[in-house]
Amino acid sequence: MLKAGKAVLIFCGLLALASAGCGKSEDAKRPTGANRLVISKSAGPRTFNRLLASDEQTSSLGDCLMGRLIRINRQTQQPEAELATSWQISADGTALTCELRRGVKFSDGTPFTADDVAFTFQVLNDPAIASPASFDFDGQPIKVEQLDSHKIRFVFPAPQAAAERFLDGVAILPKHSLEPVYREGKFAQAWTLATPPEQIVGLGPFKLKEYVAGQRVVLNRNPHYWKKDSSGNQLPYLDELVFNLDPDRSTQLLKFQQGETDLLSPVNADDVAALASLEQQGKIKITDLGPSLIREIFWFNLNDGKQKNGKPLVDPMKLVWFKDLRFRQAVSHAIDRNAIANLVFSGKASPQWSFLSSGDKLWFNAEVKTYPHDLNRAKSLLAESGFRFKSETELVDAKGNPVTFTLMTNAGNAIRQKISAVIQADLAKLGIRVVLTSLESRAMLSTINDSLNYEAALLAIVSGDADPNSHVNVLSSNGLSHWWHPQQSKPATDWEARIDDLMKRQTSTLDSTERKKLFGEVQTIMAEQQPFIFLASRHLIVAAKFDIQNLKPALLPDFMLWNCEELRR
Amino acid sequence: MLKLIRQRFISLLPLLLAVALGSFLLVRLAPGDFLTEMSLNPQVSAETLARLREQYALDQPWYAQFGKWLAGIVRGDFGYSFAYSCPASGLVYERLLNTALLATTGLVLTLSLALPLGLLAANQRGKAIDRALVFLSALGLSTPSFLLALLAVVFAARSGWFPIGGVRSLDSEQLSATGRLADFAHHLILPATVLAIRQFPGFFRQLRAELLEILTQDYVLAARAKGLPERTIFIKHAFRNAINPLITMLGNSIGSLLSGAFIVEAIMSWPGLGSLTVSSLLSRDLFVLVACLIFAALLLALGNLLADVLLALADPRIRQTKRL
Repeated sequence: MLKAGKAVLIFCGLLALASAGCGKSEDAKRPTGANRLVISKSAGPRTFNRLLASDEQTSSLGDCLMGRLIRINRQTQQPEAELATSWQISADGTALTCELRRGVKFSDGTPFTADDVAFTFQVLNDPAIASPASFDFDGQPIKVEQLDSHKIRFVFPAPQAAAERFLDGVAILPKHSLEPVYREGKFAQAWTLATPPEQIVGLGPFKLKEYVAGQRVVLNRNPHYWKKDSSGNQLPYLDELVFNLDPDRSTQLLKFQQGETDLLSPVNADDVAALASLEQQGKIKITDLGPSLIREIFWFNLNDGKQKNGKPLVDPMKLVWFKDLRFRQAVSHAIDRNAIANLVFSGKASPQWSFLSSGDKLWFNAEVKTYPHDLNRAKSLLAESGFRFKSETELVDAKGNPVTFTLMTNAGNAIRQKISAVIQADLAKLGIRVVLTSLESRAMLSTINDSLNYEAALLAIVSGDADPNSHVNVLSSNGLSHWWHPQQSKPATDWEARIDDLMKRQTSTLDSTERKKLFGEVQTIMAEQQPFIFLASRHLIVAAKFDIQNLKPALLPDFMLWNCEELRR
Repeated sequence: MLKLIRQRFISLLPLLLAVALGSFLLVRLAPGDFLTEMSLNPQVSAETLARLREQYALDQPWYAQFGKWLAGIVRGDFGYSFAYSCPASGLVYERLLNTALLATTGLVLTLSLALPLGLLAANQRGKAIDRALVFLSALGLSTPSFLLALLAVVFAARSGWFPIGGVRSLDSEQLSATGRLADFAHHLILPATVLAIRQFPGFFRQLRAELLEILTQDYVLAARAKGLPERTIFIKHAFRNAINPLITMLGNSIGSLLSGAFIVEAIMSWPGLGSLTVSSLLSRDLFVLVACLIFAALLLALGNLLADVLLALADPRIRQTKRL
């Protein structure tokens, strides 16, 4: 039996050798004081063409590589000048004229002119490209007029409030390098992840250094970047910006704890405790930015249409309950939002009553109807509507049908699973039996958007921008994300018609106080009608190494890197 | 032997076709498609979605799309990734290499542990070392791989001996060729060990059980009666006969290493085929998913073929009955 024993010995020796060898490369691995920032991302970008994808990862990376005419300052939530030095909206609100910055060069040294802007909009307006960043106004595209080499005018079919904000999502493309590709009809395949880095040309503070598939994206400083700090120093301060791709949240947390990465955003409420000791040692800073723009909601399906097989989408008996305002209000009163904030988010969340999160500070209307946890109020509302208690634990409607519904949520999301359990327990106190079901997320979205045969759903809604225009798809009755009853040909109820009208009016109202009043009323209606039963908005928590300066964490994405040119250490 | 290999390759074609058809059907019939996620974005209009759906041919019935895809395959075109707007095959090749390296190292590690330890345990049957090994293998068998991977990551973080996930260090480019190789090996050890811990018990227990059974056979008794040294009986007679089921296991384990590595890949940030398969499934990136599954099936088939060849090489009886 000697031989086997020997093999074991040899193997152990090999292992020991291997680990000894590792000790050596360990020192080489640590960045040697490079002026670099490393952040973990759960996924990589899909393309380097910012206009071809709308996902979070592609956008945050794209905004570091590409320049925009106007940027939304994430902290003030107001627009600020970037490649446009100034902008003017015509008196009738149908035209936006931008004066372009002079002497700006792309990362390959080519000068930037109005030609590039015009080209970018040509691509954006091209139906064949179908860019998710494209904008149209009732089917009509924006017209672009090139006034001179550094002046450009955007003309809208109708007066457009906050028109300058849409420019935040439009990365200016280099005409000189992309036009030939576009002419050949190969724009969709330009600037993919396989494109050599030097071909990706932009106006952002950084340029692409390398992309290692599935592992990391490394950016280095763009020597031609136009921005200087107040004392005239060339920005960005950082030499390198590294996006590490770590799909697993726990791995991201560990890497941050070990100092391998410099930023962690967002931090899960559960992980704050794990980081507390590092904060006490002064190694990191944790910032709780308060209620984020992510609102957890649930709603009843109010669609009165039919399925393909002729059956109604929602059981007519249940649709009567769901359409009953007092039923929805009673349900809203029955839910203990504080319990959700405490149980699900470890206290790092705020109860939510109305359409906007209070983090949407320019537009939030605090004067709306609220639904504090109040079972008696809920019961009296139900009684007014003809519901009665058959026994202590069973609510029946006026015709004696027991009240029960199925609540659908996306599988694999621990937060939603916990919230749905709280809803189930709270509504059981009203004698309503909630059956929980979870679907894989795409299957659920397809049910909500297309097949429409469900009873109630639990999901979160996220704002794309801190401006009423970004909610049109949700609030307008013909919107795709008007989830309780999407894509209506004409508004099903008076209050939906009123919201449609208000939304249309606010879009063309240039006076911001007046706009705020209009959108304030939309929030009042949403709170009163409870088509979405708002539950809570989780706090946005971010963490950074102590030595990173000029961080301006904000609620709009990218939470930490939006001002990447200013970050320094 | 060549005949066997040829036959196997011919039978591979319908298999791969069936895999492709099956995965196509599953993805297309499952609710939701690649663009469903985009519809969640309030800024994307319904018209844009409709246009993209047309561009991706997702508005066509599945058989039309499948037919087009098949026609492309003949030209070596595996279709485009919706998410990355680049050829699906390119994406898969990148990942395949990582996975193959990880799986092979894991397998080598597994075998170099399981074979000697299996022999040792069978030899020391019932003694302390045998019991300890049987216990450890039961532990390894019953520990889910996500827990093992998490423990490994925590171990790496606490000890600082190993990197926390990834394939290469950030500065690996500045290293010399040997330095880069060492850096890669350094990253490889932990995930490969996790895979090996998961695979080890199967091989170990199989070998041990097989050996113990063989040791009761008449021919072993005969060998002992002949006065052969115990070591020769063990290695030359018992081990040689116990190896067949292990070879079969080896063939199957290549497939399971590929699919089972997904969790390890995700937790340890190892960009392999498993994580690409899952992410393309979740995002309904049709052509990438189909390419992933085809490659996985191909590897499984090749693994089994390899096992059959090895089996034939190891066992003259098989060679004779099949007249290879």
